[in-house]
Parts: sequence; C-alpha cells; structure tokens
Amino acid sequence: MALNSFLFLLLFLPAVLIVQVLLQKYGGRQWPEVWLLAASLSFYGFEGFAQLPFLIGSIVCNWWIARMMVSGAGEIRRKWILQIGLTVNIAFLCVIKYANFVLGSVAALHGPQITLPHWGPPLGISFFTLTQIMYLVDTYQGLNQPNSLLDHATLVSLFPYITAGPLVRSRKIVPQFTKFQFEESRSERGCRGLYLFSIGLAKKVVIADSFARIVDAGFASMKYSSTLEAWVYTLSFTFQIYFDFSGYSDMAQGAAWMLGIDIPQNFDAPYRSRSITDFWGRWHISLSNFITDYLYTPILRSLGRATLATSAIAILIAMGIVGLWHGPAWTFVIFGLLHGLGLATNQVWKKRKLKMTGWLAWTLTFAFVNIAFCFFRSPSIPIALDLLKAMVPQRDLFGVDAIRGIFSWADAPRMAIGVVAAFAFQTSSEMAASFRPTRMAAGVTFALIVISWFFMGSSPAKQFIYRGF
Amino acid sequence: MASSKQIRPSVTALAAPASAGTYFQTLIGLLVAFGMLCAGLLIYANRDGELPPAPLTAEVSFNEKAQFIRSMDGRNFDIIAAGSSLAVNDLTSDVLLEEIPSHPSLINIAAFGLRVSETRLWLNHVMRRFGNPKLVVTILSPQDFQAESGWYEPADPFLDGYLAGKFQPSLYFDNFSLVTFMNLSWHMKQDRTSRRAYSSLDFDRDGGVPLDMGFPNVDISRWNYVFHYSMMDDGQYKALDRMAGELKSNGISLVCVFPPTRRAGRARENAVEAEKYRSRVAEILKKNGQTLINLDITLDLDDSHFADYIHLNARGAQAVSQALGRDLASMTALTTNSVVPRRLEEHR
Repeated sequence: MALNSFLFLLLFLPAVLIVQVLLQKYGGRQWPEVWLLAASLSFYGFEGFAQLPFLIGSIVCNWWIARMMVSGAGEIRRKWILQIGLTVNIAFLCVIKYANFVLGSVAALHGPQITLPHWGPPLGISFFTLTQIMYLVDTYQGLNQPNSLLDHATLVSLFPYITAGPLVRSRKIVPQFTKFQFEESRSERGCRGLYLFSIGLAKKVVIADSFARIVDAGFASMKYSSTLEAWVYTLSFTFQIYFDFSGYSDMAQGAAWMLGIDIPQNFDAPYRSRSITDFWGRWHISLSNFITDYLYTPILRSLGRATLATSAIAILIAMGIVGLWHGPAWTFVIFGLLHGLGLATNQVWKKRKLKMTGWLAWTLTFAFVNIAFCFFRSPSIPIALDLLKAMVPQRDLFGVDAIRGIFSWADAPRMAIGVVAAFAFQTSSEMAASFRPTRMAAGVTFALIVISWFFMGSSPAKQFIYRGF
Repeated sequence: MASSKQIRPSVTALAAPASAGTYFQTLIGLLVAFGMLCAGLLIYANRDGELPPAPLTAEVSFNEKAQFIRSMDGRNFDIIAAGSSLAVNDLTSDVLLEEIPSHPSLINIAAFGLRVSETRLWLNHVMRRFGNPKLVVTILSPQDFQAESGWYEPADPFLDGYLAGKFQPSLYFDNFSLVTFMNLSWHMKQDRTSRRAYSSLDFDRDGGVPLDMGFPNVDISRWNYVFHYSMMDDGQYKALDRMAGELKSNGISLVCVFPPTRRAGRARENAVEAEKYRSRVAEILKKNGQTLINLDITLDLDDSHFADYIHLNARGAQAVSQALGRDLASMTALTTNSVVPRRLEEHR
C-alpha cells in the first residue's frame, strides 16, 4: 500500500487515526502502541504476506542480539556480539538483495555462471536493516537502552517510514510511543501533520509525476538525442526524484505527526546548495547522518591518523557503499563514487580556503548533481554514457524530434511550478513550521488534496521511486 | 560530511491558538461539500449516459467493451470475435450470422489497440466467464503485431471479478483518475451514440461498431497512413502461436482473417515485408491446424468501403461480414459438415 494510494488515504490512515485517538483516550498505556504495531504490520503485509516473515525475523533477531549485548556481559563479549549482529544484518541484506548481483559480476569476469532463483527483496529491506544496525551500534555504545520486543517491533515497522525512510534512531522514537512529546496539543500537531502530508502528496502526484513521462522515455534509449533533449531528460529526472522522494518524506513525517510521533526531516531544499557537502546536508538527511556516524567516521578511525588523504579514502569507501545500498547495480556504485569524489574535492577546496562566487558554486553543484543522477537513473552504464555524451554540445544542438512525441503541454504548468519551487519560495518544512490552524490553512489543505486527487491514479507513475530500494 | 541542518517547528513560537477544531471543521465541511458536488455530478453523468466505464485499464474502449460483456450475464456463445479495432469496425454481426444457417450466437470482444498477446489474455478471461465457444474469429493486421503499448493490462486481477459482476472497491482505489474521468466524460455520450468518429463506442447488439463515415469525411493522415514493418514485434508471433495451440488443444477452432486493404495503400507498403508477415501468420496457423482466410485476395473493395487506410466503414463491414459468414457457414465447428472453406483451400 503506497502512501499516495486511495486505499491508504481514504481507509487505512483515517481508520488508524480514529482507533489510535480512541485508544489514547480510553485504552491502557500500551494499547495505542499495540495498535500502531498491528496497523504497521498490516500495512506491510498488504504488499505481500510472504514478506512479513523477513521483517519479523529481522526484528526478533536484532531485538535478541541487543538484549544479549547488555545482559551483563564483559566488554569483549559485548563487542563480539555487536560484530555478530552487524554481520548478520549485512549478510541478510547481501543474500536477499545482492547475491545475484555479486554472482553476475563474478561471471562477467569469466568466473562460473551461477544464478540463484530470482526473488524480489522484501519491501523496505534497506531501510529497516539500516535502522536496526543503528540500533545495535547505539545500544553497544550505551546511547540507548535495549528495547522491549513491542517497542522494537513498533520502532522498526512503523508504517509512515517502513517503506522508504527516513532512517530513525531508537532513542528519538521509542519514548514517543508512550509519551506525547510535542509542546502543542495533539490536535494541533495533527492539523500540522495533515497540512504537511497534503503538501507532500501534491509534491508527489502533481509535480513529480509530471516529469515521469519524459524521464521514462528519455532513459530508455539515448541514441538519437540532441544536446537539448539529453539535458531535458536528465534535468527532468533530477526534479522528478527530488519531488518524489521529498514528497514521500513530507507525507511520512506528516502521517507520523498525526500519530503524535516526530520523525526526522529528510530534505531541506537540496538544489539550493552551493557545494556537494552542503548538498548532502540537505538531501536525504537521515541517510547523510547515517553515513557520517556509522560509515565515514568508523572507516576514518580504522585508517589511523585523520589526514586529507585518509579522509578522502574514507569518503570514497563510504559513498561507494551508500551507492550500492541503493540497489544491486554498478550504476548506483558509480553514483556513490562520483559523490564521494565530489565530497573529497570539496574537502580539499575548503582546507585550502579557496573561494568561489555564489552563483558559480551553485551552478557547478547543481550540474554535478544532475550528472551523477544520470548514473542513478540509467538502466545500464552504456546508456548513462550515451546520455552524458549527448549532453556535451554536438552537431544536433537543439533538435526536439524525439521529445516532441512524449512531451505533453498539459504537464508543462506542473513542471514549471516544480522547477521554480525547487529553487525559490518556502520549503515544505518551513511551510509546516509557520502553519497555524486557521480557516485559510484548512482551505489550502483542501485545495492541495483536491488538486492531488485530480492527478492520482493517472499514468504514468504511481509508485515512489525510493520504494524500490 | 555535513551534519544535518534540521528545521524544526519552533514549538513555543508556533503554539497556535486552540483552533484545531476550526481547522478540522472547515476542512471536513469543504470535503463534504466537494464530495456531495461530485456525487451529484456522478448521478447526473450516469443519467445522461456520460459516466465512463470502470477504470480497468487506461484505455476506454477496452473498459467500455468489458462493461458491455459484463452485461451479457454469463450467456454462452458459439462464436467469439476477438482482436483489435479491425474486429470492432469490420464486422456486422447481423449480416455475418444471416449467412450461417445454424444461426449461432456471437459476441464481439475486440477493443481498440489490442495486440495479439493481449487478445490472447483477454480471450482467456472471457472464456473463463462464458465458457468455451466453438469458434474464435479474429481479424488481423500488422498493427496487431507491434510491441505492447503498456496501456492495456488484460491480465489485470480485477478482470475476472468484474466480468462476473462483482463489486470491487479496490478496482477504483487502485485505478481511478479524476483527470481521466473528466476527460472521458466530455465525449462519452457522443462516442456511445454516434458512429461518425473513429473513437465510436456505439456497439451493435453483439459488440461491433460499423463506422458511419467515408471519404472525404475522414482524417486524411489516417487515410494515407503507411504501416512501417520495422515496428513489428517477434513476441506477437509467438503469442499467436500460443493462442492457436491453446485453442486447438481445447477443441476450439481459430479463424484468422486478413481483411481487404485499400489499393493505394497496398501499392505504397513494403511488399517484401508484407509478404513475410502474411507467410509467417499462415505458417503458424497451419502448424496448429487452424484456419486462415485471406479476404485481401478475394474481396477487392474500392475506397468507398473504407474509413481510413485499413478500417472499413459500414459498407465495407457488410461486404466483409457477408464473405466471412459464407466461409464460416461451412466450418466444421458450426455445422455437421466438414468442409474446408473454399478461400482457405485456395490460400493453402
């Protein structure tokens, strides 16, 4: 069940909220949490009952490992248990998601041809595995107490973020299951959540999906594209993924607020960044935090003294892993490595205290991000290279033959709004922050829901891009 | 690596006056008013014949045909006419059935744009609902052998339930689009009541739409269109092979028809590729013991029979239905005799 489906919006979410409110009012202390867990598992199981055992198995296993880790064991044993826990999680992710990719890559180097049966990885596996890796490390470091099974299961499976994040930390979320922690009232937080949710919904179905037609056709094959068309294709994807993913993140955060739970903000106008470092502070922020705390820093420590060189190596390794985390394909690895290279270059730049004018820094950053996304979206490296080749000025500069057949003028106003909104005006988080539950705000929420409804269910794109990860 | 720069609502600054009730009341009021407006429009559209069919696929002609078939309420049919727009427009069932002395029953399940692979799936859905016919007739053109467009999903899990008359709310939850709904509403009534446009869905008793149009009142680009055989998809031949084999194994005769084409169009097409296409179809049908009728050879129609480069108008449909009816009259499946149609023999 997607957050932008009629089933979720008209049945699931209202039903969950109504029962949640009733239980908070009339039920015992733990019943609202039990209800949330039941709702989340139903939400997850709706995608396919067969996926549930993977999620439940992972939850129980990590819960048990964390309990073992703190059960009065010595430091060496605790570390040993942590390492087993991390290995189990990484192995779980690798076997389920990457086994065929690794075997295929080995076979490509004239190795043995082995193919495992193809099965689709469980929904959100990358997200719930990373969430639990963070939980284990934090538990080892004493940053949080081990959870009860109910708390842990609810933490991992909570429906607003189980499918595509943001990544959450146990110590920030679990206390909220039993204690409302906002300073405003539940109903006001609910209004704010609904407002943010409706903004996210509009970002996804009105703006992001308007780019989908061009992106799908453009990335299928690049052989006959002009320079202009190649740039239109890549820029379209750059905007599509931003509005798709940030729209999803707004919806997730809005839904969580409606439940009375605060989850991390994941986007902060990333296309206004003036450096790659700045970009990663604004793009998929929860993943960026994970990279910093759980990949980059430990890798840097393991390399000994922190120098510019070791730091660059640590960044490259961390970003390569993050690239691969997105999916079992070399295009994702290249995407990660390119960003690693960009971050390392930015570090050197800052260390040497070099200066660049603001507009040039922004232009270079945006162009770099756009180019890296070519690899992210392309189905194969040759298609990505064809695309990059076409983006370099060539004989056919302004040809529009290929795009004429796929471009729809009906999509143009939505695309234009997206392009402007990515660079100017308030972000959705800022809009939610300045929200007041007035009649006017209700009117805006209504307008956003109705406008979104106009476009829901229409081709070409319905699913969130990051659901695939 | 930058640490995150989180913007959090400054809760104390934002402690809004306790007007959440006002917000919800206003929002719910607006949504209820909007819902009532929509319900009113739906009732009006339904009464006026403008209500589009259930959104089974993104193609309205398919959805309309599915709605039409659903209304047949599980009757058994001797003949199923299947395929794309050619089978919709080129058959006049009254004329065709008049030629067959055993007076069989027929249903036309064809819909615009269906490729062979999609026709095969769709046919299976229909046969699950109505049981096996004695005969399946399909009118083929090279367009039916292009790669699937992706607009149709004839294997959709909702189809069986829909044809069986079940109410499936999740069909609407999954597929409803207000934009599509409104676009369709504008011309639904016209398409259902007039045969003067290619998009006509004004079905005759059995599901065919003989078009009431002809030169010069035609779309000139469609009139002069020349098919490019480079657009053919090998998978569609395999689908035909599969369909012919499956029908054969179920004791159902398949009759494929090459319809008459315009002389001017024939002169402009790639003759070598056209012949390859026809030979390959003939081979597949022969291999599976099924029947091919080539009306393009035996029925020489002038331009007054056509609505565009390949689709016939009502006059052309009458001629084709008569000729086809005569051939079908002698089919084993429909009579006790076992006579191979004359034109088939000629083709072989």
